[in-house]
Parts: sequence; C-alpha cells; structure tokens
Amino acid sequence: MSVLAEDRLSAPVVSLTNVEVALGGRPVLRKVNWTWRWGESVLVIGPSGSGKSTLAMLAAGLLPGIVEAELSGLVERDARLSRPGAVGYVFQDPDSQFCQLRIGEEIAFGLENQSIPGERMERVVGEVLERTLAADPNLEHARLSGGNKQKLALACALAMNPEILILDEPTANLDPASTAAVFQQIGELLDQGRTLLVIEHKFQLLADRIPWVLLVDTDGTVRRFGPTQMVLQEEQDWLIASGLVDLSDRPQSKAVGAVGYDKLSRLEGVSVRYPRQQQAALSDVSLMVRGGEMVALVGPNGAGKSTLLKVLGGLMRPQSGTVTRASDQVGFGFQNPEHQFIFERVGDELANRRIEGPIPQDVRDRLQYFHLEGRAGQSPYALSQGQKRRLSVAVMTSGSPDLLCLDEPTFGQDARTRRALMDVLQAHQARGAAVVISTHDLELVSRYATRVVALAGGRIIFDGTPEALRKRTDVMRAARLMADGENGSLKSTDVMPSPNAVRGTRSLVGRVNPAWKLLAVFLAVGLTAFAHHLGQAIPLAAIPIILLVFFSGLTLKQSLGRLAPFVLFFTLYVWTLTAYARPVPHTPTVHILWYTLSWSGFLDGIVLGFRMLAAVAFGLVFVSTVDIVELIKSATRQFRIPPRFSYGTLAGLHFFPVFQEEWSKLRLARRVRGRDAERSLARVVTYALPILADAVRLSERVAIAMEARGFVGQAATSPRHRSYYRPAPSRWQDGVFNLILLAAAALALWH
Amino acid sequence: MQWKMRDIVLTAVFSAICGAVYLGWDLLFKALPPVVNPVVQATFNGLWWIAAALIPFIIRRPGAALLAEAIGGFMEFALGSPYGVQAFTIGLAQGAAVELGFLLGRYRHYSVGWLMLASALGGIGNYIYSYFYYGVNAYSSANQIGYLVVSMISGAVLAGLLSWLLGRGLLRTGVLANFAAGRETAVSEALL
Repeated sequence: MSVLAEDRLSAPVVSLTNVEVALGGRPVLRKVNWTWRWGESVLVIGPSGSGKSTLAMLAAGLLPGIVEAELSGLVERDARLSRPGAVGYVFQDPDSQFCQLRIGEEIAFGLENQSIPGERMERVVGEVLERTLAADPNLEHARLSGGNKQKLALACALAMNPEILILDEPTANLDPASTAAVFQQIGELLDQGRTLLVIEHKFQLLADRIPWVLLVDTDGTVRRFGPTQMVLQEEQDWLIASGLVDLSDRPQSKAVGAVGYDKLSRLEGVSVRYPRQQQAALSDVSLMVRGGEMVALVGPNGAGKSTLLKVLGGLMRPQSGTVTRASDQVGFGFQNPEHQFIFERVGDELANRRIEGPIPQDVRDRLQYFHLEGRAGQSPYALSQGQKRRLSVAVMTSGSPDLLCLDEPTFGQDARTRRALMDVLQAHQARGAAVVISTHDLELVSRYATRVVALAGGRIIFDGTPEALRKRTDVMRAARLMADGENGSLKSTDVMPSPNAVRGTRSLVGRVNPAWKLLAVFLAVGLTAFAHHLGQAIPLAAIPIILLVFFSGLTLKQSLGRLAPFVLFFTLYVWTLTAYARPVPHTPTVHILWYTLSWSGFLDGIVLGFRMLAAVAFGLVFVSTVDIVELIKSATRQFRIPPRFSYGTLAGLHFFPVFQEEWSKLRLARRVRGRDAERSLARVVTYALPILADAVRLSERVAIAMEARGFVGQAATSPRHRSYYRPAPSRWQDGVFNLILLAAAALALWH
Repeated sequence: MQWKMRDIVLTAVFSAICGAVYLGWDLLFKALPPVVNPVVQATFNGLWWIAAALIPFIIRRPGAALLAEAIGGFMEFALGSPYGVQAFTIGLAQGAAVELGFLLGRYRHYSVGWLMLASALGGIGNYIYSYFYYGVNAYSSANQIGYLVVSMISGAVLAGLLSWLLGRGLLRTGVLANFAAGRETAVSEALL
C-alpha cells in the first residue's frame, strides 16, 4: 500500500463527496465518493446506462449547467479547470461534435472562443494538424473517415491546451483499424504525461496502458477505484456478471443448420453504380448463399456491404447481372433500428398492426422472448439502444423468413445484447434459413459465422471460413479488421471524394464581403417591387444576369443552365395574370371557356415575370459566389449578431446532407415493411418521426459539444469578445460595389 | 425564456429540414397545371410556414417562429428554389406574422388551438408579401379575399395542426425531455 499512497500525493483535479445526480427526475449517480488526482489517468468501466458519461460530464464541469441535472453532495474542482478549453472532451459520436465545415476552421473554433489573435491561431492550427492528422486545413471534415474524425476531435481539444482530457467511448462507432489508430494516439498522450479519463467498452486493449481504473455499477454507484491490473483481476466475476466481459464457451461447431441447397440465393455478375458516383458500388459480384449458412460480410466503409445486402434482399435492382432468391420470405434489418418503426407503440410494432383492446398472446410471448415485457404501450423511440435493436430484430424476424439480411445488427451494443441477438439469428439458421450480416466485429465473425465474405472497392476479395481469414493478413488489412501499421498522415483512401468544390469565391463578386453582399442583394430585390413597366423591369433584370454571366466565376453554360428553369416559371406568371388580373377598363379581353384573358393582364404578367427573373438572378449571383462559413462569420461581425445564434445556425445547417441520406434510407426501410402506400396525416407523422427524433438528439449533442469547447459566456454572446479565423475582410471596395449595384438598380427604375 | 444553445441548434436543424420540404413543395406546386384558380392554389400555402409553428412548439422561445422561417426560407433558396431569393424574403413575412400570434399569447400558449391561430396569421403575412411581389394586387377583389381566407385556413391546418401532430408524436418518443415542450407537458400531459 505504500506505493499506492505515494502515487496519490498529488492535488485533486476533481473531488466528489456523497454526490447524487438525477437527470429529469431519474437517478443516475448515487452516493459517489471519489477523488481524481493530477497525473492519474483513469479508465472508467461499467455497463451501459450506469452513468459513466454523467460522471465524466460532472468532472468536466458540463453538468449541471450546460446539461440540466439535479445534483446533491459536494463537487470540488481545481480552479485551473475553469478557463475555457481547460477540459478537452471527445464524445462518442464522431459526427455530432463539429460545428464548422473544414478541418482548419474546426480546430480554430476553440481558439476563437479563447480570443487567440489571428496569426497565433494560424500557427497553432498548423502545429496541431502536423502532430495529429497531417491534413490540409481546407479539407471538409465530412469527408474524413470515422477514425480520422475522432482524431480531429482530439486535435480540437489539444489545440486549446487542455489541463485534462476526457474521452467518452471515442471508438464506439469505429472499425477495428480506426480503433487501433485512436488507441495509439491515446498511448502517445499517456507518454506525454497528460491526465486522462477514458470511458471505453473495449478496455482490454487499454488496460495495460492506463494505470487506474474506476468501476461504475448498474445502479450508479462507484464499485471500485484502484490500480487497473489488480482491480480487473479481482473483479473478474463482476465484469462477467455485468456483461462487460463475455467469456461464454460456445461450442465451435457452428454449422448448426443443415446446409440446404434447396434454399439457395444467388447473385451472378451483379454491378451497381449510384448516380453521380465515380466508382461502382458493386462491380461484377457473384455470390451464392445457402440455407443454414451464417455469412458475415466484412470490409471498409463504402466497400459495398450495404449495397450487396440490399441487392440480395431484393430492395435494390442491380444495373446488370442476375439475382435469384429461394423464396420471397426475406427479412431485412437496417443499421438504424428506428428506421424500421412505423407505429407509435411497441406492441403494435410486434403485431405489425394497430392493436385495439388487449394484447394478443403471440405478441406477449414475443415481448417476453425479446425481454421487452411491460413495454408494449411505450413508444419504440423511448426504448434504450439495446431494446430498440432487439425490437427491430424481433420485427424483422417475425414469421419464418428463408433469407435474413441484417446491416450491422450488433453495432453499438454491449456484450449481453449482442449475444441475445446472435442467439435469435442462430435459431433461424438452425431452422434452415440463410443469415447474412455485415459487421466490423472480428470476434463476432469467428464465433458465429460459418463463412466470411470480404469486400473492398465493390469487389469480393475473400470468400472462406473465419479461420482461413485470420491467416490472410492482407485481406484483414484491406477490410480494416486490423491496423495497417501506418499512422499519422492521412492517406488518400481515407478521404471520400468531394461532391462539390467551392466555386466562384475568387471571382469579382466573390471577393465582396459576404455580409455586405447579402445586404446589397436584399435591397436590390426589394427594389424590384417598384418596377411597373417593361422599360424598368428589363434593365433591372439585366443587372444581375450580367453579374452572373461575367463576374461570378461561372462559365456561360453554367450560368445559363442555372437560369434556364426560371424561364418556365416566367411563362407561368404571364398566364396567371393574363387570366386572373382585374382587367383595366377599355383594354381588349378574350373569353375562352371560363377564362377572361386580358391584354393589360398579359402586359402586367410580363413585367412581373421580369421582376421575378431579376430577384432570382440576384439570388443566383449570391449563392454562386458565397461560402457559408464566411457568410456566417462576416454577418456575425458586420451586423453584430450574437455568435450563439450565427454559429448555432451554422452548426445546424452543416448536418443537412446527413438528413438527406437518412431520408433515402428511411424510404427503403419503409418499403420493407410494406406500408409505403398508406398516406394520411397520421402516416406523415410516423414517417417523419425517425428523422425528427434523430434531429432533436443530434441538436442536443452538438450544442453540448460546442459549449464543452468553450463556447460559453461572452465568447458566445458578444461578437467583439472572440477572435476570428481567416476573417473575410471588410474593405472600402465592398462599399463601392454595393453603391454601384444599388445605383444601377435605381437608374433602371428611374429612367 | 432565455434561448439555450440546444434551442438554437435545433431551430437550425429543423428549419433546414423544413427548407428541403419547402423546396419539394415548390416543385410539386409548380407541377400543377396553371389553369387552376389562384384561390384554389392558395390551399397549398400553409405548409410553407410549418417551421414557424413546429419549432416554437418545441422550444417555446420569443423569436422562434421568425428565426425558423428565416433559416427555412434561406435553405429553400440556397437549395435552388424556383422562387429564388424570394423564398427567403416571403419566409420572413410569414414567420413575422406567425410570431405575432405567439406574441399575443405572451409566449405561454402552445395548445393545438393556439398553434392553429398563430399559423392562420401566417396567411396574412403571405398575402401581404404576395400583394406586393407576386402580383396579387392585380387580382380582382373577390380573388384577393378568397386568396387571403384560403391561405389562412391552409396555414391553420398544414402548419398548425400538422405541427401539433408532429410535436405530440415527438413528445411521446421522450426525446424532448430537455426542451421546453417536454418539460412543460410532463406536468400537464392530460391537456394534450
């Protein structure tokens, strides 16, 4: 014990005495007494829902306050932790902790909150990037892989020169290769002598690096704190009982189902290419799946696993090749279980209809089988992650499908839920169904799969037993099941191709300060209301069209292409006014059917059409020459918008592509349940619910992440109390541009 | 009544989604044969300010309706609306009008009736804007009155009632626990 006592001499970072925390009335942490000292890096382990994240946020000072909670007991935090950026925090979900578009801006966001001046900010961003990602600061982070996103999150924290670092399950959403890379980075931080707190499910890989461990129990109490190796050894039984370690000795004879050639599904020479994609998602893939098999699809993200599943399950028709299936009895499971929910109650989901009156016996049996007793009346969305997953699997495996396709069914699940799910799938396999799953989990593959198919770049690169796969390190690396030894710099394969490059921002109009440009366009569009005859409307429309064609950095073809659709609407306005305008007395009118067409209305329509065209063209000039981040930042400064609102909006908007993707996934998922045809107001609601529920949770996570990076106090409320990374200059030329533009518009109206 | 960071981000995320819905609605609307009377066309209008009802229902902050429509309209414009930048400017008019409805309720009333009332006011905002910029001033008086009344009813149903149905669905999922709607309705769930 003397070694222990010596180690614990340093001052406390955070000290908790009799702390109890409840979130929304639900107790999460109970009777917590724990002191965390400087220099002590801690691994936090506990079953899901035990309050590990709450404990971490408490230590970080995010709770209560940024996260609402009821707290009792004594929390003492070192004074050094109170400055912005003193606590570096990396969250679990790589996608919801960023609020800008590009890597450089993202790292600079924290520095802006600390009011670090421009040149120093540029230097720090460069240095941090050098040490972590070694990537171009202008790269959009949406194009990074999950692992690199987590490295970026870490880089953002490191840039702020943190006193302590908290990592809340940083690898939960990552494949094995990315996990290894993040773990290596954690190792480097430990070598530098930093004080870390790491929550991690895959703790075995970190146990010999992190000296201290804290065990949190299901009821929210601290079970144990002490030296990692000793505690893990002594608490072996508890770890197994809590489902944190899975040591079940499952028999190795996995071919439980009689392999049946009568239930055969086959792909032959299948190729799939998505619109606007360079590379084919699948090229010339041939695969045969027999009843009684459990096939695991492995491979890096974007290798074509999901596409292959969709083609096999009949959700998608390939451009070429043939697909034959044993029968139409196909079950399909999507990665996000919420996509599959179409009812407002759990019981209804299982019955696949709205239950009126008492719950039928078969539904009750299945509720029990999937450990969802007592949840029948609840909203499926209100379930825990594990419960949601079990429900979605229950729904998709109802009946007796001959083919089951599941996209990452065990993603983000703890050992216990994972096992329960795989048991269900094995039962179907034993019945003679073919089961095909995609996964990154190598352990799952070796334990359950009878066969592994590895994909890379849309082609099958391996097809064989799990044992054979283990001997093929080349395949393991290509499928990202194993670290490839390269670290640090970003390889071109890690970066997905950009859908659209920044255009037109270097042209004449593009160099105008975005905020002033917005104002000028706004005023110019306002002026269009005063064009009453053709002599005013035509020159007014000519101004933005000239700007668009000659000064916006677009080619003639591009600018005309953008204007073209509006010509159609032009005729529409002419028609509406010709037919419905109040005829001016003494002008010719024509009566056709029940319409009264008037000459004055026709002229008014043409004027209105040109006014429209002017407004549209001004808008096109603006969007073609502006960068959204620059717009938000310059509007913040020029118009004195509280940064909370402008940056919050930017953070929200940058998720837009995510929801576009969600929408197309949701449509497919609904097709599987065969409910697409029903359309009523209530259907609209259940259709929108998964996207909106996701949007709410995402907003909450992003907001917390932004505040955790020092976006609090004056840095968030006053545009003058923060610095700006690469600000768009506001110069006299901007004024000149605006004056000329408005003078030209006024001239068009006046003459 | 203070805006929290999560209220702002939620407003942006939801408004952007609404902006995409508006764009789809624009295209659907434009696909209608133009032989239909403008009064009949006005039945479409209400959905174009659903953000101004749905978002205030969730976050319950002053200015939410206006900000939601500003962002939604901006997204609609930036995604390539056939109405161009006017998608944004008319959004401001509609959002301001709905905002007035919530202001009248001193930002305390978010029942289904109040949502429908505030959303009906959005029809007035739409009418005023269209009067100056979409040639409604040239319509005959009967057409103008019809346009206004139908827009208001459309707003009450497509923006107000639909927002309430969506909001109620979201409340049931439990994800709104940390937002004003979730906190306030936990106590008065019977009222829903």
